[in-house]
Amino acid sequence: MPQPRLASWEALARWVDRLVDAYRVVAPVFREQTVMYGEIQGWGEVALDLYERVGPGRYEVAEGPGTSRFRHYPGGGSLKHWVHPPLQPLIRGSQSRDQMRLTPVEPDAPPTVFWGIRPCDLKALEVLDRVFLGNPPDPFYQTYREAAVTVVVQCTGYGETCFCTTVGGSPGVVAGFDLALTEVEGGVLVEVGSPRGASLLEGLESRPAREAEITQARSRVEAVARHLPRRFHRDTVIQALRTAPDHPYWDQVAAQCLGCTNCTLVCPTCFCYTTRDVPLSLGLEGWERQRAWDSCFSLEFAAVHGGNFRPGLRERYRHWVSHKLSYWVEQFETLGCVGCGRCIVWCPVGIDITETARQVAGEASGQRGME
Amino acid sequence: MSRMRETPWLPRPAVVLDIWSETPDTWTLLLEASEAAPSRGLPGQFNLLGILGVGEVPISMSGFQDGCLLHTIRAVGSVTRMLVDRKAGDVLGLRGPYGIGWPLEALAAAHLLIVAGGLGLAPLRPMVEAFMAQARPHQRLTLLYGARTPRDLLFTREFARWQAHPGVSLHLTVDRADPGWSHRVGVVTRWLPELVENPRETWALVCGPEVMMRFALLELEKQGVPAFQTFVSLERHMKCAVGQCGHCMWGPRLVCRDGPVFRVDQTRGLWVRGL
Repeated sequence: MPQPRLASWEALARWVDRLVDAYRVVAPVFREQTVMYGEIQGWGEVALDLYERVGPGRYEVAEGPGTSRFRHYPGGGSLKHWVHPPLQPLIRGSQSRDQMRLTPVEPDAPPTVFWGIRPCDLKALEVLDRVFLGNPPDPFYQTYREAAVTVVVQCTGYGETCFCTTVGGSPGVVAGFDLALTEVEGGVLVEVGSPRGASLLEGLESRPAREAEITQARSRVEAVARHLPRRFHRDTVIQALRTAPDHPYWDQVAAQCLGCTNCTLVCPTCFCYTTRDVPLSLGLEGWERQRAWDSCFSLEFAAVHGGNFRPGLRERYRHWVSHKLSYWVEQFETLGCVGCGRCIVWCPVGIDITETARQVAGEASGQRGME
Repeated sequence: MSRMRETPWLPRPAVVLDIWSETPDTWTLLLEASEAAPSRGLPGQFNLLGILGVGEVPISMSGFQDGCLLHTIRAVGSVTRMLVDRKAGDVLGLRGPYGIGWPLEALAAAHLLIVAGGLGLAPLRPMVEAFMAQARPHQRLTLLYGARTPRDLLFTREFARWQAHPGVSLHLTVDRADPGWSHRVGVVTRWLPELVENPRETWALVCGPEVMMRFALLELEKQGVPAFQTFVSLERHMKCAVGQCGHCMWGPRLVCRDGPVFRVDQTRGLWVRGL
């Protein structure tokens, strides 16, 4: 791979303004009082210098000084919207009693750049790859994923609800990315992770990075990894969730959970969907079968004609956590959770998945221990 | 940037050749699957049957006949009600076959014990037929089949033919009898103890309402039938049948992909209510 380069913020801005002409660029933006990912038409829309105050059930954005300009850790919403859209048409056509005329919807995606995403967001894409790029791969996800170049911003700070290291992740990236940006004194370090990244770099004015700049980038990211508190013991939790379905804590948390599905909506790896048939133009032009996001918290998720396998919130909450922090390993050989903390922030009653993990695994609670 | 990719979502046309009633709310469809299929299917596997504009549902195959498929369907929802409203010549959308079916090794067992409740006999019927087609003289099939009332028994027109096979013994039971009912009355599990003779030589296949399966498994274990020779077929809500939509999860197992048939010794810890 080419050596790391250093770019000024001005050069970065010009680069992004050029990228939007050739690509659909998805970047951190400030919309609906939230730092989230959205399509941008220019550098001016990129969310910088905005400080997120987060906690269980709490999200506020304010402007303020800080050492980093990218301060979304990692914000609301996720890249799921672009690789596993909330609504996805599958087949179209018409069917009468004795005739069936169906055609598959062809997946299509413009060349896209996921610009300024966090390492946990990249990890989430790799986790979703296990679900959708199996045998056979999902044609839609595969198309969307292959169309997107990833430009990761390594973390030089962290949010109060972050816990990527607890689940085996990291505030930095080592592989699987196309370009990685790290804020250093005097500019932004740019590291190339793939040939696609290298060619994207051609539009960015930069110079070779100095050793001191490379070292500073590395140590800033390592400092974050060192300071992030360990919320629970991962392997113990994976085991405990398989063997403690009757832990009293499930009743406790069920008394708080509203079943609102916010957690599954903001989670970058939740993938469950339903399918439904909808008419095209009042049915005159046929019908469309589509898939749409669903949530295991919804009442009918596990219902069959004879009954409901998870009739209570206790069972449904237990299933969500057990799947995310344990069953995924058996199904996909990776944990489902990337430690982004969004579910903690966006739960209206502030349920904390790490607290659940600690309780069920029998660890002392309240050890969110900040530095 | 678009490419034609292989999609699992396109059903193939399946022509309804015949349809007949089994019980007041259950019908069997004889389907000719006209276009290329990955395979005809194995006992215990299922297809997604559907109509664009209504939806799709997973239905186990209840038989194979002259290159055609049998599906036995209970009409309980919008899709199943439309499916049983079909006539000969109508076309359905079919996706499949999916899932892990019954173990064909069980057909070599000295004693094959099939325990079915209600609609649960439908996915087991192919194993009854397969046994009859190739049983050796020393092999026996015990079919223990129960339903709520006599009117809810499936495949009654076939009982005589099954009974006529020298290796087959058929034991029927109902929860509630009609006048004129001459067989047993009681839940299916009540009759298990007397039907297990050589537990180590017995392979048990179980399908029915989940509560019936749980009790049947407990009884079979008590009678000494090895858990690695005991199999169940589960039913779950399904949308995709390819292990992606998440609806069919049973703890960590995906019923569409790791099942619907499971070997019982591999299900320890999963028989928890609400898992």
